[in-house]
Amino acid sequence: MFTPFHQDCPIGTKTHFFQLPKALGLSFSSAEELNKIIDKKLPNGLPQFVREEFDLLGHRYEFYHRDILECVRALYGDPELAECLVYAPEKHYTSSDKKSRIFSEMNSGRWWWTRQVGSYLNCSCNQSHHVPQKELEKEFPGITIVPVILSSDKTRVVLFGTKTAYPVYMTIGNIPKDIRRKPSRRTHILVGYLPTTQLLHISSVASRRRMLANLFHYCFARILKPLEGAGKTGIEMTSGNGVTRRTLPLFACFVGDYPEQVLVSGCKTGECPKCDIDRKKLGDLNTESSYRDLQKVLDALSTLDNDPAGYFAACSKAGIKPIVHPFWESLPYSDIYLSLTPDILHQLYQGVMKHLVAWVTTAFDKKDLDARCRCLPPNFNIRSFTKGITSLSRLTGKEHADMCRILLGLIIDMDLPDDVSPIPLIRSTRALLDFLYLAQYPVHTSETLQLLRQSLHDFHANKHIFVELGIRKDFNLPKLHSLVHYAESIELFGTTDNYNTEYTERLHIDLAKDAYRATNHRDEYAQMTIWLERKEKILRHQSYLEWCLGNAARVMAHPPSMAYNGVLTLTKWPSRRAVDLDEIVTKYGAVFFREALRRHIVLSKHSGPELNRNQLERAILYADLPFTSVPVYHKLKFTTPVDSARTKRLTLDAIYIRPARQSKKGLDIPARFDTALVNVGLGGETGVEGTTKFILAFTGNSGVHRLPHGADPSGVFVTRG
Amino acid sequence: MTDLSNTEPATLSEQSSQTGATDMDTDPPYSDDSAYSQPAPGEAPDLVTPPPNTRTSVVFDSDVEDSDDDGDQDQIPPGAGSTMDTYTEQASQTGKFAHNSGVSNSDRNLLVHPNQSTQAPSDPGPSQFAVKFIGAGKVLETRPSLAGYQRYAGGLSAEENGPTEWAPFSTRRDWEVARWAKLRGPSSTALSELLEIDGVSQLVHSVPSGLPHRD
Repeated sequence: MFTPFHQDCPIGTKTHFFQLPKALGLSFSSAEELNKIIDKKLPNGLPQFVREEFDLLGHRYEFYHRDILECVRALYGDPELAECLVYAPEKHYTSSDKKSRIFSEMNSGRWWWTRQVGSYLNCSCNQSHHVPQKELEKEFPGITIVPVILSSDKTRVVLFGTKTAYPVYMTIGNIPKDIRRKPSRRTHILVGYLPTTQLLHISSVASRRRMLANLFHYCFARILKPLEGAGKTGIEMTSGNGVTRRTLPLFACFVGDYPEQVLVSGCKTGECPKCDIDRKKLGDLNTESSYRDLQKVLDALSTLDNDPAGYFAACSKAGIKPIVHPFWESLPYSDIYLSLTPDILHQLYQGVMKHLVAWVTTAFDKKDLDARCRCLPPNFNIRSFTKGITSLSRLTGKEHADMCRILLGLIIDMDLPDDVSPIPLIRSTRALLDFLYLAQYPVHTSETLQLLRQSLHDFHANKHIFVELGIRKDFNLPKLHSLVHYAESIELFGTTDNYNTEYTERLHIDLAKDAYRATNHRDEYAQMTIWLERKEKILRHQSYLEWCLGNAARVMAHPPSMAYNGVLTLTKWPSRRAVDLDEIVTKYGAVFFREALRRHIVLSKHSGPELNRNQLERAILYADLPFTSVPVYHKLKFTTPVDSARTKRLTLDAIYIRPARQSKKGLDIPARFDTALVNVGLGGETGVEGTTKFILAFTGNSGVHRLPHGADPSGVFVTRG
Repeated sequence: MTDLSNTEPATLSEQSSQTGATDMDTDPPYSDDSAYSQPAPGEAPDLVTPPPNTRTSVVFDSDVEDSDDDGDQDQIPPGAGSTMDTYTEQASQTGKFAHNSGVSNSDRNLLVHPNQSTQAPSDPGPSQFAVKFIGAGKVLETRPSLAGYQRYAGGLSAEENGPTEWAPFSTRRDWEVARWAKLRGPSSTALSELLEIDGVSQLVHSVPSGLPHRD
């Protein structure tokens, strides 16, 4: 009856009334009981969410948030992170002459240092909301700054439809970026869900927009309220190793895409949220501009209470929308215009690079470009666009990244119509790509930052080609302008991997989308927050149990490095154990394999005076190959080295050497021989000079005993293609 | 839903009581940061004991007005240089660089964590120079009783009844099923339904490891 399942299911026989929970010895017999245990008996690691309701023109709205200070405290006190937190700003130089500074982690940036000095020497504040002098002097020596990094992003929680969530995340800059970026370390904490309403019941568009901005700032201010006091006087916090320090949690960075930045800064869409540049001159690199003056803006905002009539005029004069108490208004030691950080994903990949691909594909013949795409040989790090790149739409950041890898290679020797010189186009493309990759360096020095600035400059020097080709009229794009601020932000807050929106995009999956899916989609936020709290409790309890059992994960920060530490790895056994030498010549395309192998044998056996060319050739001719087949490896991998903290090997690159074959289904799979450039000891650090091109690699380890006596069996036998 | 706001996390009250008890004037114990000693506030900084494996020199760094920092928007206050005796910096020179082939020369200067200089490879590259703001991160007190998950464990034992290792769950299996149900598991209704199925228990019961088996 129950085939194909187990036959003895005693369903319906009341005599065997054992139930799963009892048999397993479970302390709960339903999901409700389990929830009760979790809610009542597991301690709160993080504060609980608070629901808040407010009225807005007759409609009630709710939003959920939790005490951000307690979240900071929990993160700061996480025992797993205790070993790697940083407490003090540092200045790193490439050498003791202090000429070239290194920027990497947040504490190597200038912001932290000046804040420390500022709080120490206590005169940096000409801002009215700062703390009186006396108190600072008494309280602040030796304080530990805790930079709070906030991010928010509206996201769709369902695949189809318009249901959105508006989560706000928080993390602290004391955690090294290497750890901060791992979702599994849970260093980003969800501190609230903002209301997602569009306020559609307000008929006037202008008033609706204003209300939306006010709503956003009201909610954000509610969330950040605890930071106001703590940032002025400092609070004591204990890190996970039991050490208590006096800390000053300060709002440091806001990570968000352009619409978020506009909303946060209160500027108009189309303007730069950071500086006061004219929106009609955004495309001009040489236009003078300075950061928006926070003091001026704060003065304008303060007119609201005294002079409501002049408020609008004052705000528009200061270049800010009339927002009622923006959330950063009363945060101590914060300058929102500095805090807006570069955004690699939206500004570069989904912004400037998207434009660049569009410009390039308009400039060249689309069919040509697509044909070139299809001709690209397969390669480990390159995605093959079999349909070409011109017909794609709605691309993700990852797809743009894949395109950027091949873009320059595609266009490098293409001709423009009407004999226009393509050189400026190649140069501007290359400059932007250089900028893209330089901007993502995990470590910057003063020199590499200069390279970054230079590549932006190069683009602007060559961009005229797009105007000449009639592709663009101007370059007044806010995202293109935003590149101007990259170098400065890196100097202030460390490299861009400290504040990447990609990390929060990843968090949306766990903290918004999965949470939404766990609800019955009615009054979902109440369910989402409880679901999240329970999940966090379970995860925390798990870490606790592992700590009890003595196998707690030791979290180690890996110092950022640009070093390429690829380790060459091969499969344990060759892909084919014995391949006939004839087959090597015919199917593997290594025409001179025998000769090369003989040469290797001769040279490794030979000792004494160097052979001249004739002698060598003669020796090769008479050398004996005592075997007719060799083992062959079809794949060479370069992986990350395995150390104590990193258990997983990541494949960095791979070389394939595989002759044509047929798949199990009888399909022909074409041969793949990757090109490898091997530095035979004569080449430099960059460039192709001194390298030799090989297309086939063998190792002779398995055939050691058959090699003539004295021949070196350990090397990788390579033969020139 | 509104009662969520009233339930205060247990850790909060505990924390604030400690805050009150802390004596600010006690000598800062040197704890995890022993490599970087911290002068007491107002006191002239002593020579810093170098960490065992780094060559260290103390620099009374006057670059508060260094051109280096002039680019900062949040200006360093005028006159800051005159009060430089209120803080000091530590400069440490570590001769550690990872070898990087294939990267241009200007990128050679890699940031290396000063704490890890024990594993310094013998790369003769240019050494890196780090200046640390010594005054920052002063330790107020160290209480090993607060280290690790002890505070968490305290919150746990206060609430649970049966003294088991797996509290508040009864056994390892109990906990692991709960964890699976919450992190990987199905919806709560599905979980309840699974737990209600008759007879499934027999399969599980007969095999201690919990694996279903065929007759």
